[in-house]
Amino acid sequence: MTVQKGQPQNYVGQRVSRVDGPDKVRGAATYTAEFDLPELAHAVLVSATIPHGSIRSIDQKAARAVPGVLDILTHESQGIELKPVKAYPRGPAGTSVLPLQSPNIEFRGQPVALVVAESLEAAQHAAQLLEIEYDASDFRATLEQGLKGLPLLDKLPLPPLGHSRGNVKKGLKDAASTFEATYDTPVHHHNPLEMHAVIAAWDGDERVTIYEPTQWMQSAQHTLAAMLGLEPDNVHVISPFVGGGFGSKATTWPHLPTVVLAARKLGRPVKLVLSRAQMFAAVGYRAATTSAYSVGLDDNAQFTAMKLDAQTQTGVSDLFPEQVGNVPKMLYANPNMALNYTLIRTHAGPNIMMRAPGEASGSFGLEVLMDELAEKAGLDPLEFRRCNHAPENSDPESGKPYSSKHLLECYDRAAGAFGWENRTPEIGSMRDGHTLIGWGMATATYPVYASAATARARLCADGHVEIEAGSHDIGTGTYSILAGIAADSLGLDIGQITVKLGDSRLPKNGYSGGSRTASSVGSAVLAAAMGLREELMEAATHDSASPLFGVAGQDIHPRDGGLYLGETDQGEDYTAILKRLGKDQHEVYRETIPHEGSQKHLDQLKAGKDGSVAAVAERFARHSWGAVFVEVRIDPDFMTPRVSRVVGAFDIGQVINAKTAESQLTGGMVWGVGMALHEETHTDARTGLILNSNLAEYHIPVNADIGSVQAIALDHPDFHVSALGARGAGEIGIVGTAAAVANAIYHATGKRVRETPITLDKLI
Amino acid sequence: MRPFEYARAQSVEGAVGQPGKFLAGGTTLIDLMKLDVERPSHLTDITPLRENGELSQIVEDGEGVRIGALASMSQTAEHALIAERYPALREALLAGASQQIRNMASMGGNIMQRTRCPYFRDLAFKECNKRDPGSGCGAREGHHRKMAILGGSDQCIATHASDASVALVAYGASVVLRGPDGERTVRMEDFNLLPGETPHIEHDLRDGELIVALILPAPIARNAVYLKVRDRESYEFALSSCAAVLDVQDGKVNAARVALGGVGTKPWRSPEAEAALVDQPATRETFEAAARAALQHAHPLAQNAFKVPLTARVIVRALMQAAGLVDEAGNSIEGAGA
Repeated sequence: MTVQKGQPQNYVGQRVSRVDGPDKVRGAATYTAEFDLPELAHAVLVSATIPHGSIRSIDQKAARAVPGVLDILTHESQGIELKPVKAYPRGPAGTSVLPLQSPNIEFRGQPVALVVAESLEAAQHAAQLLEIEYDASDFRATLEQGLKGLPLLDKLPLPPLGHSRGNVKKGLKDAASTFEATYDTPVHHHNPLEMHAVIAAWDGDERVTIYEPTQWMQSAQHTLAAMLGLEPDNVHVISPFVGGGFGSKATTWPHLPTVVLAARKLGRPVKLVLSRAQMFAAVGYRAATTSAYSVGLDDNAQFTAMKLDAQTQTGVSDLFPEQVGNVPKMLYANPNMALNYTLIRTHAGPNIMMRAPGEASGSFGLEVLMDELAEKAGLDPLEFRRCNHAPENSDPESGKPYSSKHLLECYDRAAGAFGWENRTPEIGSMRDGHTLIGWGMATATYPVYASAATARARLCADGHVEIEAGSHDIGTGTYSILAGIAADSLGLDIGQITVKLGDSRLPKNGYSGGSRTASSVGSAVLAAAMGLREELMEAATHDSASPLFGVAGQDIHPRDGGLYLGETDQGEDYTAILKRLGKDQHEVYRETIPHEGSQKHLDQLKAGKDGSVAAVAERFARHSWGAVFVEVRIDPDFMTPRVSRVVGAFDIGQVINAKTAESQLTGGMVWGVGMALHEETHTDARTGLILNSNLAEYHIPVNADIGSVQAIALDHPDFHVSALGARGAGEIGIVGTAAAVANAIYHATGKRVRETPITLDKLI
Repeated sequence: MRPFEYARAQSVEGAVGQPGKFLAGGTTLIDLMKLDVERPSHLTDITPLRENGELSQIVEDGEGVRIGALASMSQTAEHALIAERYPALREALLAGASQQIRNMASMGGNIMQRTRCPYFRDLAFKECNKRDPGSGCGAREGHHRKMAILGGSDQCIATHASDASVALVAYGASVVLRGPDGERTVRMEDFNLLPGETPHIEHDLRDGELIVALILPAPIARNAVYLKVRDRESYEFALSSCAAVLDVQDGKVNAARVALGGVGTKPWRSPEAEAALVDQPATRETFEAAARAALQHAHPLAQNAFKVPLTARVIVRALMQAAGLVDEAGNSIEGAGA
């Protein structure tokens, strides 16, 4: 892109390449596993090979005989006691199950030992020689097995998750037609490209430095502080680059305290990098779900009632609900709704949020259901959705107006770009010779999470500006987004902005999840950069030595590295102002409270919580919107579904960086294609162990599976959400896409598959 | 990984007879060593023998072609002799793995490739007769969607993973082995063994023997297809595949070779299908009869039962394409008699 100097919006809204791109390409961006420290020891984690039971014995003799082995931590080790913690969403840990504190095993892959050695090779070899005997107990490793076994969790020690409005019984009774169907989604594992990794280095007994790829530095700080009795501020977390997280790196998992304990015991830094197989063990997953719907329609094909009974799995000790009802309870106009959850305990371990938790899994059922209902009503799938559109002034869940809703425009834009008007409705009616073609669509929505945030902007003597925020770039482009906001605020070239993230000593920020970082942290950076500009302007206009002495503030424009009167040459560089102030640097720190938030949210942030305002806030219901259209091509001989074309249009508020936002939306839709056709964690029913814990057999799309993917972002800033008008782009792309693929497959083949992944054996 | 003795081979003679395993591209062996499934005491790295043309070159050999065992998959796929005379082998090679793996993996190693059966590859599963004879088969009562429907036994139903081996079998290739007692040549069909009661013994390979070459006899026809159906478009093993070589004269099948992948415990040549083709008209009906013949002894289980109809369709389509009756997308070719 070209940069026009002097214009106030050179970067925000434009396609700006990643400022950290060159470093990433050259390998100069240092990820956790690449840090080296003096005296660094290497660790290998050993995971349980049963889902439930206890450790009978661990024979360490052969392992300890391996040259270079320094220590082996097990539940029998001395001096590794940990205090209990609470698991998310009640606390910042991923699980309340403490590592190496007892012989009990309650999930497959639970850490049972940590081998530490002078070299990685020695640690790996010794780990293979550890002889662990178990006493196995009965287990329920899957949702299906859980339904037959362990007690159900229908009374959750959490705020009630269900939802009800109106009278569903009456709504179903009064309906002109009713319909029932059940939709299933399997277990998914996040599998970011970068494995979880930790380096722990102690400084005395009270201070520890943690290198960790994380979406939430404060999670590590507060979890370790609670487990070890430390001050949170004495846990220094360093996390400059994160190779993807998708929710799995949002909370603290048992391997982290294990490494911290080993480092303390040995008195030297210890590094651990999980194996790919261990990325399927104790770092969370998306729970399997079952959504049973009963719905009624009136003569105008409008909802009279919807009943959704959802069953999802969770761990034995922890409760994380995969909220498949998030979307069904609000997306369409419907006076009568009943949403009930049953959580099923399983020995699959603690589950956690994974890209659009609840929305991705729940929208599959809802949007396939919509396709089925449209067909029964004799309506085009898009027309049927328009017919049940919830008006802008009334969120069906809360009755509140939406902060901003342009869903109908999403339908129009995406349908137009896709060419939906050329669709013929009959099954199998669209062909390219022998090849079957199907077109399907779905609606997308994702709630707004906005958090309190803090940032600092610092003008340095050489004229460049440092932006500091204790937030994270999880691959989404945070460095570039924040640099663009600061550059525009100060009239600087983006090259004059240095953004510092990924260090817990920087101004505190919350969790990078829920698509919130660009809007929340971006707002704090905007405030800090604007504050810096105002203070420098104040200094100049009150200094008789400045060419801007006495000039009114509103006439001054920031551009070309300084402040100028309008478009004239009357003005000066920031460095000149700084010099006259007699300072090497000038800095401004700002705290921001999200719209409809309060001091409470800022206090929560500072206490290590996420300080987040709910999507349904005091005045407005705040959501993003979208529509996804998909073309599949299927060879009828083999019934191999392949997605040739995806078009999505999204109403996500102000786009801050058009390039990174497009990457997020496109990546989300690609993941949705994978959810539809490929992704599933297979569990062996007889052992409770995972069968495909590698990226050869845990299928995600490869390049050859992805045809054309087009992401259209509407341009409607939502100033009811943030000062930037941004809502967030990270997750909405996956929502609805899997259903759109399923609906396209139905259109091509007449096969209605109510579960994912839709593999050829379900079609042949 | 467990420690092992490592030596670089200086000559074929020096390598032959060495204990442990030979290391070429390492794309299977190193992977399985990391998983602790393979635990060789010694590794003899034979990659220095690439300097020796006999082991790395692809040359004409009488009416056929000789492929040095250290020729890489990509080198073989791109070689003019292979592309011109053995198109199904080229297609099979290019349908396997990824470009990076194909650049590393050797042809000799490819035919030694071991199964992707998860019960074999993960030591957490205690039942695997192939890895631990007598321990049982986890797949039979467990997850077996991708397992073999042909050639299995009570002991093992693990699928052979190689694509290239399927084409090699179809072309009637042989393996040249050099051992302490000299050189011998074994047909590919005989080189790979059925699991039977001894699933841990996969090849007719004696102690210390080194694969030095693959010999392809003259192809029975130029018309040949390797068709592979899988869960995703690339970088994935076959659910079902077929290598078909077809000699059609005046609408009649003169000679045929049919081999199947993704469905057998070894690269699966189907003499039953071939017999059903020879001297018959090159029509869909004939090809459907051949598919039925190929699958008459299939033994599917609950989760892999779909492989029976799928494989029938794969065979028919491969033959239709080899006969020039349909194109790669399955469209009828105008003017083709059928």
